[in-house]
Amino acid sequence: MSDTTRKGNTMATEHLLEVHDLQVEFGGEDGPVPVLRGVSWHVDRGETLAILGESGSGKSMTAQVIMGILEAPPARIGGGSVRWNGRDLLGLPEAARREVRGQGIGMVFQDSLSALNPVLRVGPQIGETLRTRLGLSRGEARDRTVELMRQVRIPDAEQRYRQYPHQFSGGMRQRAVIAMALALSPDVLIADEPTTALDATVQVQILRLLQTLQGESGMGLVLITHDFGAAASIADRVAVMYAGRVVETGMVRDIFRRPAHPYTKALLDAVPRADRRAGQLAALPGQPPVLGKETSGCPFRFRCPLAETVCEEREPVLSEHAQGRWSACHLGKDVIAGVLTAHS
Amino acid sequence: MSRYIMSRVLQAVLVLVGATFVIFVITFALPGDPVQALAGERAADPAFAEAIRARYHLDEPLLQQYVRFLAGALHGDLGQTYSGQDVAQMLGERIWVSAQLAAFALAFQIVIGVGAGVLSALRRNGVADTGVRIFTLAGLSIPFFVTAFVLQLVVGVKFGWLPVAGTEDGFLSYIMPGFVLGSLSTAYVARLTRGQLAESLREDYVRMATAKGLTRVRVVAHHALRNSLIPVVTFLGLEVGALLSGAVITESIFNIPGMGQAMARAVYLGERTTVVGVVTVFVFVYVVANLLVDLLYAVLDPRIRYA
Repeated sequence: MSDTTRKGNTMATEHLLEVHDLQVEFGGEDGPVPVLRGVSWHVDRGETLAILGESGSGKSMTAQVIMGILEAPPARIGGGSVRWNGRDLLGLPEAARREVRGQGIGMVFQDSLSALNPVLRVGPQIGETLRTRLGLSRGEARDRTVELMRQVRIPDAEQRYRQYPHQFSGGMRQRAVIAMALALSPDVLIADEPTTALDATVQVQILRLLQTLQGESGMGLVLITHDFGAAASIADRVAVMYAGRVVETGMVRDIFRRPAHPYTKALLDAVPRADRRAGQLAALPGQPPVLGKETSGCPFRFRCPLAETVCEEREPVLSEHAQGRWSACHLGKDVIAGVLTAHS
Repeated sequence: MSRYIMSRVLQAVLVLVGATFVIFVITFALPGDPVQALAGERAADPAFAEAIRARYHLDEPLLQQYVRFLAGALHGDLGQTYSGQDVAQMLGERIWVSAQLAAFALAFQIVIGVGAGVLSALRRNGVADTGVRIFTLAGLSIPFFVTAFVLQLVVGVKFGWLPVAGTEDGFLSYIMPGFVLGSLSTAYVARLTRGQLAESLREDYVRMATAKGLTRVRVVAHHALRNSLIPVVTFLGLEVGALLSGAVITESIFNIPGMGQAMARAVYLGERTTVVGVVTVFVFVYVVANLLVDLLYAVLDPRIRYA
């Protein structure tokens, strides 16, 4: 599968969920500030896509645009499309988009404590849409909700049903949020940093749970994370974001073995590994670019050990450097080949 | 929970005793001799003055008078006015008038205040929001006796839509004074509701509620508003006490025979027993309202548990 992007007019095969050239800007005092600068990725049924990137790279914002919960204004969608089963969601009226939420695409929020309503019991919150959307009776919704809670491995589901979010531990809360997102059996589940606020052991459990649930239902899973380990453990494909764009995408094993973008390589070098001797971790010098500050050329060139003249002249586009290896780097081939410093 | 209630009730009793004592001392220290006030312009006849002093125990030391008052109050006896009327009985009649007025004011605050606040928060920076902002600013900054006189003049006299004063027209008589009494807090409730709701709407659980496919109405009513209203309910609960004391002026302007009016007259006439009686009732209502609000917290927000 190398048809990760569409070229020219040739229509690629229809994906379950496809984001294409998405642009979002924020209205600032000195004119609009671009936050997403043409984000493209897709996910298919039964597939797991990990979106990797540091804070502010635009990972979560992409998810909010897909769900239609972006606060606009101040944000403004400047262009691009979000296709779910071939339908462009951005053009749909609110009522039609609501139909897609929950049933077509579900979302798991990052912080499970703030994602659950503190004054409502957990069970009814999970099963709320069963009643409002599917029209189940109180009893039916209850039974189905308890079943959902069991499915996400919440022990004593019957008792837990009646409890409030503050009576749940962090891991249990995240399971509850996952159950809530799965209530209407969506085709795609977007999990926005689902393990960030959790202990390391619980993180692993939640990731395994997501993997199992996906295996059972065959849904598409989009895992937004800044954790390479999480991506490596459950993803099929990876999209790495930097400064509001996807800078590299490909199969997870290819990218981890030989990244095609210097940013991905720098991130990989900064991950602590048990099989290497403890010592100083490699750090990526410099800061991510300041949004809205107009720069020409590649946004990563200031931190890039390979930067050349061409990198100052124009911004690289996502292109295929080797079979299935896409990155937005002028020197992508060199990076894959393992060249470590600039030629000149 | 029951221990908490016990300690709160005990606190309430202490507040009641303390507050009545303070008001007792204050009325005692007020300038002017109540006996002389009864006699009018001429000097009071010494024999008459003596008799009155003895009858109302004015010749006793302050503390003894206070203990006598407390003992009576426990049995529902608040003493007599200088004209021989039973204070408890008089207040018993007037409290319903004041309660009706307070109920109207509270209704305005809930319906108009919360309604305007919700509208304002949902249409942020729109026409409705701006309108509400201007009206609440006016409500907060114009003294309510000014609002009262303007309404009496325009709505009462000029157009004749509502009675200018008095309570002869029943239900209709309470609309204007109720609005005036509640106007200040209506504006405050609107602003409070707007602020709270606007904040809730940005919460993750509200966005999650949207993301799971609920309608806008359901998201706002079931998820956002419920949390936003906790501070509003608190405010309204405490407001019940404030409405009674605020009625002193409103009842006087609109000539409504409630407790506030009795209080205003009693202060003017130096009627100590009535002043103390009314304040006792005010403090009692205030303390009970406070207690109920604190207990209501636990009902509205399950995270709060009293130990």
